Amino acid sequence: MVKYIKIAFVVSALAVIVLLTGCTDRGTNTPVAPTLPYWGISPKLFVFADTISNPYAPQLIFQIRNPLGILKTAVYVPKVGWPPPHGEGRPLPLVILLAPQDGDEFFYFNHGLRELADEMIARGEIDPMVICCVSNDQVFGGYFYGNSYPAGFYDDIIGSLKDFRLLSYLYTNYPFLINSAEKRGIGGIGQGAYGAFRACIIHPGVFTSITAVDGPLDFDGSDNNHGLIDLFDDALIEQGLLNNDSIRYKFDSLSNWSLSRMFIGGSMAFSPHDTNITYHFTWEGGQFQQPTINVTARDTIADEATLVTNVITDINPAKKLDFHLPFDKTGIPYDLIWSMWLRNNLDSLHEAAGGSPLNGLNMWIATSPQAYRNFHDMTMSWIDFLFDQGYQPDTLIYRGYHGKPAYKNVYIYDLMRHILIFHDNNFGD
Amino acid sequence: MDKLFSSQYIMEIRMGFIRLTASIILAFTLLTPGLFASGFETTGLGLKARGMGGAFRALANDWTAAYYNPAGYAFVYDNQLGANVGVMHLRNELTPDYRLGSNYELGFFNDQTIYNHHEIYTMPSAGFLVRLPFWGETVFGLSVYQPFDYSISWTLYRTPFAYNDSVLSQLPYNQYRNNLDVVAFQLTAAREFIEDKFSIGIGLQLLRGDLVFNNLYMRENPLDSTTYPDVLSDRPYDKIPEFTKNDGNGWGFGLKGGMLWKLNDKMSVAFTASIPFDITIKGTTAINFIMPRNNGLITDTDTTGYQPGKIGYLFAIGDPISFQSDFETKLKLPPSVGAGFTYEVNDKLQLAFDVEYTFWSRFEGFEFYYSGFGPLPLDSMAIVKNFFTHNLTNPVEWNNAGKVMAGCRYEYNENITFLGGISADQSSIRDGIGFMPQFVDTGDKYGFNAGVLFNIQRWEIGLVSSFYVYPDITIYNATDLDGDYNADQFPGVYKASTFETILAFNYWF
Repeated sequence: MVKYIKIAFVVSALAVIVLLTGCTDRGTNTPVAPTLPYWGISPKLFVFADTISNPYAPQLIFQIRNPLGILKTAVYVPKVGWPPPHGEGRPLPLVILLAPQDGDEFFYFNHGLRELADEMIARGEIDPMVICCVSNDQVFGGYFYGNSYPAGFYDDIIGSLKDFRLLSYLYTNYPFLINSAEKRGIGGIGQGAYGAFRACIIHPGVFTSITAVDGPLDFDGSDNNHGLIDLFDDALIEQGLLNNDSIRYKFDSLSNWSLSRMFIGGSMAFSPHDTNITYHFTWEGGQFQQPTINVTARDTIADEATLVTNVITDINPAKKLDFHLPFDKTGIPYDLIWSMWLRNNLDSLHEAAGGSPLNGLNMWIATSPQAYRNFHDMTMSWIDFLFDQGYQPDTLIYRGYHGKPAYKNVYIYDLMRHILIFHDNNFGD
Repeated sequence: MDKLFSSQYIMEIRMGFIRLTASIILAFTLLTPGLFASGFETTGLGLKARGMGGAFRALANDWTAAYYNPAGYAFVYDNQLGANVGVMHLRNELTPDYRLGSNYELGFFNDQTIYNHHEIYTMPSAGFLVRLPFWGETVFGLSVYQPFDYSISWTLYRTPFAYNDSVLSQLPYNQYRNNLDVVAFQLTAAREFIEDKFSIGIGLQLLRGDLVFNNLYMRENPLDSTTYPDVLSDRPYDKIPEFTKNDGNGWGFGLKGGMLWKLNDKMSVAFTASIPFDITIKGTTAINFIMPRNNGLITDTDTTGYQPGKIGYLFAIGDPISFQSDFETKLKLPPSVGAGFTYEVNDKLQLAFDVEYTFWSRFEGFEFYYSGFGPLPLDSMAIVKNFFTHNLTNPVEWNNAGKVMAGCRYEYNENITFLGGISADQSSIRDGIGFMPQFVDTGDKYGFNAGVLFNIQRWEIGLVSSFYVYPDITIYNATDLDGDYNADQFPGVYKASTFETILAFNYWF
């Protein structure tokens, strides 16, 4: 009997050993989080004045409530770019991101750009890069990064390689940037997408890559009869002015009239009442202090059918900010003015530039059928145009998840991952 | 007189032994965590029963008949005391694919094979039976076992850096956890109605339910973009993680019944039924919201909407919000019916075959009703208070499940008996609706059991090992089943296997 008891215990002990060995601890296999440097971002307030060739340059000085002509930016700088002991002094490429309507210089950072870039760099998904985020105007939400006295001369500011423009300021302030077109990218969403393409068309060869997400990339849409045109009556309805004779002195820019503000900003850029201003600065002490502008002469558009006058005012009465809407009181396009807008359409700018100004530019365009303001149709139309012209842009069609459509800027966080990877791929080694 | 005295003395010794043993069993069972089979039913108990794959209803000849078929007690002619302990390891894997709209990451460890936390569970049970001279001769038994048990936990989530980069060390380890125990204290009585032919037995159960249920709810950000700035609810701030840990218990009742009919010397058939009633679980809940941290907004120059005391600040500063509440939920346990057949081939070999059908559709998951909240921030604002105090649900849509079992028992000699069995067990979650990491029952599974039993004088000592093979299951979407904007199933690829060994002894007296 003792023999059986011994056998029983031996067998049981062996079984328990086998069981415990078979049930080895595998851990949980959860991935390890990378350690991020948390280097932060650098807000910069750039003032544009070409003090050499044009001591009193007007780039942004006529903008309402921007008396110093400031372009606000916030710059993400990976730690490795700074010289030792803070960093490694590594040469870095540059990406410029333009904000959409109402977006300030923190727009992309408020959607997680800094942490995303830190994480992607830490994981080796992208190489380190400097990212300069440019604010859109905050009064009307933006001027389409267009070109006029009241809107500012963004064509000169954003894409130009001349001194005292955005790029030159960045290369001065961040000397570790690689000053080469092959290491320079640009992008934007909404008005920022339009502004980025506009800069690339007007300044061919300055950038190697562009990323654009749903925006007014073809003002009259795929059939030349929609796009922004569909929004004309919506803007009037927004203010209760549809078929109202008083639009010329009532069409206003309250903060919750987003559509109206977009058309006011666009009108300031594309159809301002004053088309040419002769001005004179008085500058004090050789420093950036509030300049006094003396307007000496104005050329104006003679037509008054769509003129909105004396609605938008500035503390400086010299900034006379009247403008022409591209539609009449019924929401129908007013051809004389609308044609001025269409001259700023990207396909028109492309044609005006001659040849193939986007050759050599690597393009990535994302669009969602759920985008607001007909941006999807306008974006698709621009994509078709690019293909017709022989370009080969990469495209991404995206949608939101159930209950969260891809409206406005909801998914910019997710798109930024694609954007950074695209630019990184085009920067090469 | 001496003889009578001697009998009383022996009886007192026996009763004292029984009381002492029962006390030890109760303490042992209540203090030890346990486990599961289909749904969250345990794999069973007892050496012979488990060794034969659970095909034991028509055999039912030891104290574990309380679980399989109380009628079997009537044909047990000696008193018995027994106990066993199951040692189990759930070796599961989950490769999450938890993205919203198939594209949008929330922080789950997608495409990475994650293992459930390593835990070796023990599942003890014990009981005794005595034949007493009531109503003729009736066999009574008291047993303690776990008819339902499940325990598993996972770490599956980390907040994206862009959502909140300051809380990584504060995330709970047991993010998805289910430790559900139902212990039955069962008083069993059985007697023969046709001598050596037919018996009926019933069991009255006092059920004790214990629940620790941790879950992560990705709550819809309540700040509507038509009222509040878009940036507060744009991606990645669209979903706010709410970790909950519900810890409570409750009591209920249950019934078991069965009949056993010996057709002849070689064949027996049995029919059984089990009816557990609902258990109301009450306890406390630790609630932890991981709030969005938007560094840009807080450090921006805007001082109007993002100062302390403002809703914009609350939803951008990123401070976790933790508080406690009371909770109540209903545990709806499934009834089941079963039948068994046994055939004695010869003096050494016995075969058994059982079927069981469990009405798992009765289990509807958990609806947690909260009350008695701790201090809340900005609770004067309805939108905030409603968000933080919302009741939470984990609905499931399970199916009734069948199980077939076959086993054999071979008496090698008077001291050694070999046991073997197989089982095929339908999954209660086989269509995947409401599949969550807290209940990993990936599909129809097959069990293989083998063991050896040593008969040493009045003792039976033995060991059984079991292995369960599961199919893989892929859950495709984070579907909201009840329209509360919270996902009620966790998408990903689930794999499972289970190892179990049972050590047991019985003592006849």
